[in-house]
Amino acid sequence: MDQRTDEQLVQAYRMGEREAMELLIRRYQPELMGFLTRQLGNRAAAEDVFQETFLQVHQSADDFDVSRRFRPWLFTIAANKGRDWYRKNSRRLAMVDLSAPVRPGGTSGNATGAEANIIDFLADSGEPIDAHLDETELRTLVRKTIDSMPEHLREILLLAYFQRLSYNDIAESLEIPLGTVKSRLHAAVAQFADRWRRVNGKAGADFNQ
Amino acid sequence: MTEQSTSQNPDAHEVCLCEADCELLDALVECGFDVDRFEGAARIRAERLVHLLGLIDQYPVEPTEGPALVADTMLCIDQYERGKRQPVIATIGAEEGASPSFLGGFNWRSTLTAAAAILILVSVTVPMLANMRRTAMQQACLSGIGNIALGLTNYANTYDNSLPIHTASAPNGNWLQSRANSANLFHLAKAGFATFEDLACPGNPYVEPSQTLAMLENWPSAKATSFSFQNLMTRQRPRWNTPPTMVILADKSPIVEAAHRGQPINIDTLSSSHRRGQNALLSDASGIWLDSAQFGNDNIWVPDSCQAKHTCLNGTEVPGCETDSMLIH
Repeated sequence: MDQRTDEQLVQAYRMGEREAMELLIRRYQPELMGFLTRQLGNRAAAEDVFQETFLQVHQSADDFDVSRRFRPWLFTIAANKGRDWYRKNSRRLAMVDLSAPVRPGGTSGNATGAEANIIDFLADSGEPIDAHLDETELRTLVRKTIDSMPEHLREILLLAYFQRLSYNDIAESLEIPLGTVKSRLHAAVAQFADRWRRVNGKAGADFNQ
Repeated sequence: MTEQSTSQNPDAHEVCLCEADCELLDALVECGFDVDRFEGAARIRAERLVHLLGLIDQYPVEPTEGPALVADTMLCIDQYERGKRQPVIATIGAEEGASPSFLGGFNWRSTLTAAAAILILVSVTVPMLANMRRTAMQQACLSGIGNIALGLTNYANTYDNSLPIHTASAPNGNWLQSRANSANLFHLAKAGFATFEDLACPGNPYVEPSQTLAMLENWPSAKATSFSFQNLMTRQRPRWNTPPTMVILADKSPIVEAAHRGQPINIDTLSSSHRRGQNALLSDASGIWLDSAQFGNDNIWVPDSCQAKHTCLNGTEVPGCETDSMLIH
């Protein structure tokens, strides 16, 4: 197993070591495929975007600042490629401005706070929200919940939680202001919780509305 | 709720996190979702939030077959590099089954298919277009002949059913040495009974502009002559618009130049104007297309006395009778 860091592998690839790229691809294959499959909801599309992502890495390898971390850079590319794919191919995509601000504490739009349902995790009953589901049911409902979310909220949720990117990294990745990243993630978590409750049904009592 | 999410899920409704959850979420993101950094109520809140988000890990993702995707990705990169080196025919010679489409290249199969399709298209359309062009020129020529017929009718009405004759009327003259017979037809336009455009077959590329022709007494060269007219160098001249029918005029004779050079002529040769035959004007004022040099039993290029297929003309030949066509220019 090669012990070199990602950044060292990029440096080696620049110097002509072809195997360094293969190592990077192999190293990130499970994680990146997981991210793209969740983002696109389509395994074949995820594989296409996976290849395009590493093609972009190849094309931009000389421009990569090896003093910075490779991982956020890779997922930035992947997120952008995934978004491009989604725009071109998904009938579910609505034409929204991805840099549009989201109302603090909730989703974007014209609904008023008085009409909104407020989610408070501390007011949760404490019972596990998925306790009553077997593994197959759980996976099916999770997929249904995530796939039903708007693409721009799903994307930011995956980048923040699944990829553990910081707000700054996300802002840089999506090329949107930091405040928009925060408000959009708040909206994404709220929608995820709400949609999970609605999809799950039985978990409705777990949240204080 | 955005218009987008509402349109996607009509049952969706406005929902947002409370202020405390928002602050906690911000802190969790910045510490990588490490709940151990929180205490008391904040920790409970953090654990419940992280537990909810942990559901994302349950999203079903099929395990990938490592080597295949890695190999495909490296192949994708290799194809891109080849495409950069050969931008015009990007991936000719690439591995079969490879899909270079998103690289914007062509593989050898698509290139050959396109080339074959173009070849078939050209082989079908070029002869078809050439044929259409020839047919259009024939029709334009026939239209000109129709106007000449009208001009001859007017001329004959004016001059006792005579055909126009200008300078080549010397009896016993040699038509190879005398002024060209075409001057007789040229006179039709000069006298105002037809236009020079009518006398210029579109199949003849040597026609001069009308302004130039108006200053002349005949076509400036044999090449510029489009039609051959009945040889009137005999006392037995045909009359216009009277039966029996004979050919009075046709596209330029193919044999006169050979006769000028003293070479044997072939009486079956077709006019060079359209190559497949010639338009002809009959003495009853009708125009027809002839695909041979014969009209009935009469050869339109030579007098009845000249029946040998290959012979030489000396300039003394004249039509044998009023119904004998002999078209010269």
